[in-house]
Amino acid sequence: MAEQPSIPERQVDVLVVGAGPAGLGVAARLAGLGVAPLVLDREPVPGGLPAQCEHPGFGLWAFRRLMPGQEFAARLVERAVRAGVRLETDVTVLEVTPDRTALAVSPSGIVRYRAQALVLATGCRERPRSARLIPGPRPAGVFNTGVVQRLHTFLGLLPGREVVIVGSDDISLVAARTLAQAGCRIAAVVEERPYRQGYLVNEWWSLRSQRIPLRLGHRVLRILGDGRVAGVEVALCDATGTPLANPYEIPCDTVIFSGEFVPEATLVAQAGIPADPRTGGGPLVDQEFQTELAGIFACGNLVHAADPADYALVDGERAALGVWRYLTSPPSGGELVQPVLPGQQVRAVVPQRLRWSGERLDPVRLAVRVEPALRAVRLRAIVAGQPWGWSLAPAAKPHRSVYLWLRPARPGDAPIVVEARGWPIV
Amino acid sequence: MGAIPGACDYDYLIVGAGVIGCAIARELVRSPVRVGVVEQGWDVAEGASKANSSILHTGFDAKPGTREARLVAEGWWLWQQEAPELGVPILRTGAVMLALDEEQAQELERWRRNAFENGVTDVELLTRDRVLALAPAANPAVVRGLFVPRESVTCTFTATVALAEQAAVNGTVFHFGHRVTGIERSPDGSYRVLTDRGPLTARWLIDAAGLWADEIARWAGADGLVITPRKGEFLVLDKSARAKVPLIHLPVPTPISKGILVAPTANGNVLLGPTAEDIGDKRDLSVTASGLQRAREGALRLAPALADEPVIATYAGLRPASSAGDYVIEIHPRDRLVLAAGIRSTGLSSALAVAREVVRGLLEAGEPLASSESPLRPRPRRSWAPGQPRPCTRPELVAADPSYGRVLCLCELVSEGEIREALRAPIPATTLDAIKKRTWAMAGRCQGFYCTAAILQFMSRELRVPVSGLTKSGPGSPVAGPPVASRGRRGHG
Repeated sequence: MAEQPSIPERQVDVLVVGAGPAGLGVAARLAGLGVAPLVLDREPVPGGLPAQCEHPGFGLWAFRRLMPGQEFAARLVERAVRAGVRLETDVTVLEVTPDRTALAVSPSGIVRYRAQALVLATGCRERPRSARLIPGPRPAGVFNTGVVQRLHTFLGLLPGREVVIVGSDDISLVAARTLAQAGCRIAAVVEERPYRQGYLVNEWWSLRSQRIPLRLGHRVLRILGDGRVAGVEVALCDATGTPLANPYEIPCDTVIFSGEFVPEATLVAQAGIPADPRTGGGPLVDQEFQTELAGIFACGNLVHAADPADYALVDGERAALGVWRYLTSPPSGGELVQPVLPGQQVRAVVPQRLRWSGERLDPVRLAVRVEPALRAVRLRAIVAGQPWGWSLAPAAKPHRSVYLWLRPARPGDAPIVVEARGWPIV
Repeated sequence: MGAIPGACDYDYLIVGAGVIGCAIARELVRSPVRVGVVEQGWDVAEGASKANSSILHTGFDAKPGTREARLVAEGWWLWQQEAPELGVPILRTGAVMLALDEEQAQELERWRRNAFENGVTDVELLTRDRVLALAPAANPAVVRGLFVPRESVTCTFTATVALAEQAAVNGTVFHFGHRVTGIERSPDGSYRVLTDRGPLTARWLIDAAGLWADEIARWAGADGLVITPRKGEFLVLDKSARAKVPLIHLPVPTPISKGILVAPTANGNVLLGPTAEDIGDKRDLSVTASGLQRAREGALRLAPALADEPVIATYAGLRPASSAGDYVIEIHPRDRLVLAAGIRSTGLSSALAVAREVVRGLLEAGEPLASSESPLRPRPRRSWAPGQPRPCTRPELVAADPSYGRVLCLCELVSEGEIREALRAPIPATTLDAIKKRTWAMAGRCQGFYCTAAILQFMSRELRVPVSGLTKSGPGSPVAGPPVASRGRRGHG
């Protein structure tokens, strides 16, 4: 047997996996603090999911105006590179280890990176048709929105001519508009919940302006078609999926399963980083986005799939402060860990624990997912029976975070329970 | 066509490029004969060979004395000999039949005797503790178990592709996308097989058409064969489940079916299924809500610990079950017709033995064929087979060819290099499904979310075909629509 070439090793201060908004946010801020991070991305084009979005709606937080995803991604890349970030594309990270190494492959070879701090920002993806257990044959023409965006943006192709979109979050609604303007006929947007998931403004801007019907409370019972999709069978259903009316067929040649994002947590699981099943397998993090393994951080939609790109960027910038503190002041020991637990009508909270090492008393922001969807929402954080923060929101839906700030207070280790009150949206 | 009048295109024309048809073709081309394969799909393994459990059976549970029992047992040993050279993975995991109550425990003794009658003498009855030591995820209610150490798993795609490629390298001609529409006999007795893309002529006709074997046989003049499609639905679990399933978990069979099992796959996933349901439509490959639920519930009875493991894919396959209840392998020397039919769920295990059985029959019929020991040219080597480390993890391969370092499919870690190999193989992959069968790209947990567009782009470049001309499984299944109509209008409104 031929002798195995040894794998070269490289030392880096901070290694960031993923050049989406979160990863670029971490890297740019760290570069500003005088640390030179290396960012690896598996795609030839950096920027994460926004780089494949031609539609506007990005950048309000970072650049104070709305812009198309591609422009947003390009500006984040430019800003990071100008700040001194090293960015390598076409590099796939194969594994990470608890001692902060990462094995990566690219056309120029396999390298093992040894980092003082490792940041995972691998984002999220949509649940495919098969994982949703949708019955019927398996013809061509069944997509996730992400694939459709890539066909459209990178290859200049439509997914088909007659489209049914399954899901009504903002991504679905905007995709309906984009495809309608590019030449598709959108036969319907089908949503199994009895309410629209995305913003009302998107329903008006995306659907009503294009005269696209929105079928609330409808489920896809079956996909039809032999070689290519020929239609979908849908019916108005109750919450358990039992049809309330006769199923009917919508002819189409394309079905797009949209939304239902899950974290891309393969590296997390394989490295044995403790994860939170309530977020779909994203790692458990503290308020500075450090995981349970010292020096390994995770942020963006890997920890809360999927909030808007701007929020992933905000995460990244906060995580950068955590990384910087980790690098500059090693843990002193004797820290307090305070669990954050979901209470009534709350499915998940990020961060899942607060970590206090004595003197730090920063305000903390909690990202909260409610279940079920609520109107006139009041969020409360309660510690040992005492309220420690609250916020109000006109509405909250399970697929998107609502936020709650905790005021600075004396650290403790009593659990914080976050609960939501409001009227269920039905 | 340009054929010489009076001469046939082929000495042997095989209908069906499933694992049986490909194995027969490979066995025939040991001799200097002209072999053709006609297949309605656009790739090998498009019928029953595409969607099964990929288990390599020992035949311990077959009905003793049947042709199936004999050929499955022989096929198992032949695969052990041939697999290394063919590049087909075999994981000798073993299987354990789980008795979940006292009544089933009584049955195990009967299955042990059954195994002995079939020559599978290495089976062993296990106590509850030993079952749980072997199968940690097994139902704790298990009373006893029957261990079958040689039951193995392989990969039905890799196996069929490997047989077909070696057949092709040794001279077999494959006609994909040719649907047989009728069969005529010439006065000299040779066959004229009509297809939707023109006729093919042959001295002998070999019916390995799986689900359609009865129609082909009837057209060729042999009545009496009835093939009933028996649907089996499966769920595929993500690789996180694999560590909990070190071996195949079998239920105690019922008279109707071997039952719903839990099996590791060669590629590192876990299969739940299949259901067994006789249906009427030979093209009905749809998964159903009730079928998937039954498959899941049945599997979780064996291994409740898998309840939270994520499902990444579902599929349905149709077993070609014959009315005879056994394999139908018949040689009709006067009609120069061979039937290799009714090879229901065990065809992958028995394929090599079925091929030898057919050649033995042809030799008896006086055909001048070479022995099964005659050498074949090897199939070209692939850089990867299921269960092996991916090329992108092997420094020497990436250093030698940078395309192995460009990973397109993140979940399965498939590089451009492997996809290029599939596109340039002796039986080139031309569709997305064909790429999936050969490389497992797009078959992982994201089911193509990240890589479909990149793979289409790469295929388009390599094959010099626009992306809008690429298909999932052949003409009629385009993967994408027309070009964007109004790129210039973007940003308006």
